[in-house]
Amino acid sequence: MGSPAEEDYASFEERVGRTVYFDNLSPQVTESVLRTALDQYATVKNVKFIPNYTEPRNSPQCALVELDSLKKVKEIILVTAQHPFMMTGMPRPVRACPAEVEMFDDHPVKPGRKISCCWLDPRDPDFQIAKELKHITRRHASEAAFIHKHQMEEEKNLSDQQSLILKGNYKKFKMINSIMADGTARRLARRYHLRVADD
Amino acid sequence: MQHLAEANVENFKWGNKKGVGRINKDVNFYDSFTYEGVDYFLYDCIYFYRTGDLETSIGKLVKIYETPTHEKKVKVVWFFRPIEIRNFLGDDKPQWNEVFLASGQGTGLSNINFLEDVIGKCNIICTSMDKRNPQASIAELKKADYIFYRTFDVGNFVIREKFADAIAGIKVEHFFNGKKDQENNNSPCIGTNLKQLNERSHLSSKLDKVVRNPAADCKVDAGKESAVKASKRATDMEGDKISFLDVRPKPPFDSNWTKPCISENQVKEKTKVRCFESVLSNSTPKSYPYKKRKIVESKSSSSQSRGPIMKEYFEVKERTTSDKAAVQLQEDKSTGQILEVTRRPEAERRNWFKNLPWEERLQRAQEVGTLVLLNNLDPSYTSAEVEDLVWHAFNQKVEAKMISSTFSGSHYGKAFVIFKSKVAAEFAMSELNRRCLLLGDGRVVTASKGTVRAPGNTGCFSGHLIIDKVVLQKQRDEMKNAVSTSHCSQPNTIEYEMALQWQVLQHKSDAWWKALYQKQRAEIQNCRSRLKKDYII
Repeated sequence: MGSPAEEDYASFEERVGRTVYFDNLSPQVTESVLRTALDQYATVKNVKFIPNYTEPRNSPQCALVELDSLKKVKEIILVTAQHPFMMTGMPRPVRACPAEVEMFDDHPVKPGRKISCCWLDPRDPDFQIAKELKHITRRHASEAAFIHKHQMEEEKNLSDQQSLILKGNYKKFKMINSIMADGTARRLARRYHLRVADD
Repeated sequence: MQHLAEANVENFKWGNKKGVGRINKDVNFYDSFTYEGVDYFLYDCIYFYRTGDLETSIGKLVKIYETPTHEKKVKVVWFFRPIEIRNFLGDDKPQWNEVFLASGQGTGLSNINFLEDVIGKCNIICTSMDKRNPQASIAELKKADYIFYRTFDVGNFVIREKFADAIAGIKVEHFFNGKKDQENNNSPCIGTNLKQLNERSHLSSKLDKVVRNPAADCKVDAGKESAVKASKRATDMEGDKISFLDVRPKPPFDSNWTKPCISENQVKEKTKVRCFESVLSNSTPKSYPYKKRKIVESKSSSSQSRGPIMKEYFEVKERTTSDKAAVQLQEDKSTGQILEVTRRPEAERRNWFKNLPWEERLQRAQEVGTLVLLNNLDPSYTSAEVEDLVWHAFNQKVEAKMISSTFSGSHYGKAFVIFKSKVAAEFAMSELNRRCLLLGDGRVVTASKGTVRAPGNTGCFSGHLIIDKVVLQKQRDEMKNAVSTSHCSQPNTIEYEMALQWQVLQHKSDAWWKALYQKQRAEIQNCRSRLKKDYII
């Protein structure tokens, strides 16, 4: 506890300020993809993926990217908010927001902070309340899990919908392409005396 | 409003009557009124304050009337402080006393309020170069509380320098600087409002400096210390007469918008800032429904909801010795400070050997049964702090790792803890379930068996659509590269529409997470407040 710790913490916070937190990344996105993507906007100093221990494997990934200046952080966040930015996972755009201290799991201890705890005995008058708090905590955790499940379902629905649309469009495109390719269109055009532009 | 009604009779007087309402002849419109000794005229700029607000609001009176039921109402067009529209400022750095006039159509433009919420006059000068605006002199500019030369369109969320012909149905000339005699009227009134404005505005201006938690940056620099002390002084000096000019927000808008913020860590520091913390605990961005919609990012409310209740509770708990364990642990913590320091080098040595396969460690621990998941920790704890906590609570040396919360706004911190043996793990879990381990800020730590997802192959990720590569053969190489690398989508593709749909879904999911967290926070607050009361009994 002293100034080295404080300096550590201060420099850590400075790093936090320069870091952007990306969400909704496809699991196929790797560090190099992120780097090339963001090199268009700013120099990337460091990329760290947040490991995913408890979520199911299909969840979107999250990453913390450290840039070289605060201004770039703001720019990137603005750009991502205003235009859909895709990183390999199309068409799901990524989300960016400024990083916060809690997102780093290896952050140094904030100097001057004391943690204290105490055990409550069953005889203690607050024990009941504490027990209630525990129940509430558990309930909240399950509520959060439920919403999470719901969210995954919604995302899957949207994705299925979109893939249907995409398949339809793709079929149309393929058909048009094949007609042009094997000369059917030109023959029909000659038949009907229409002009077909060469593409 | 009862107490105000009595005060009204003495302090209130209508001025000139302007006319009657067109639709309802019983409604009387007025040109001016006198309230609490101050004369207010139509088109004056005023400070507005409702109890429970963090900050006064500034507006211009555009209609003053009394309804048939003898309620006094005013219609106010608002001025936005820069902080309220900081999301739309972009890189702009407004001057420290600049405000923005609301314009356009939409919520936030104007409101009808009770006249009793007016607390004072405000001197606002328009410095716009518009030809309809009489320019103010340098002396007047110096005397002004605020200046404005831009408007904020509440319909399009855009800042403009051009003024339309009418705002909220009132001719824009009324918003510009008035004629010279009206200006002179404003300044003496500031003196008479000293007493009234003291209590609220100096508190609110100090609040302004300390409270706001900018969504962009969360720096706690050395300025924090001075701001905290300043706020201490503010709460102590509530009755003192401070001159109004001193009280104006001093230029806190330095180049990085680094306003010292009250993070949870600051709450833990034992500063006597209870007064405005109690205001804090009421104020989420949604607490302004009557006045105007503050366009604030949702994330800024995450760490502020911990009011003074838990801190006070814990201080009280500290002082009394009814729970011996608490005292002991306190002492342990103070000697524990020393223990912490010596423990670290060992921990580092251990890491040399086992640092790499953390995931494997988790897997193995889960198989052996020594993996415990702790819930309801403070999300800002570090892994080392969790290890120390477990050491103090159970006298066990463990390895811990905080799980970084990906959804910001959640205030539950989770950590994986690997115990030395299965017995130790089970003992710890049963202890935590049977008794209650109470943390300093009123959290009760819960534990459950840790489970880690088996590393499987990455299944299909919702939102990643693939089409056959066959067609792409014909395209040129550059085009292929362009499509497969990261890019911002252009509006003329199907991809763009789909992307927009995803963004809509993302915003929706943000909204429901936020709602859930708020509800959860409210429940916890409820429960924790009962904790304190029980203790006092």
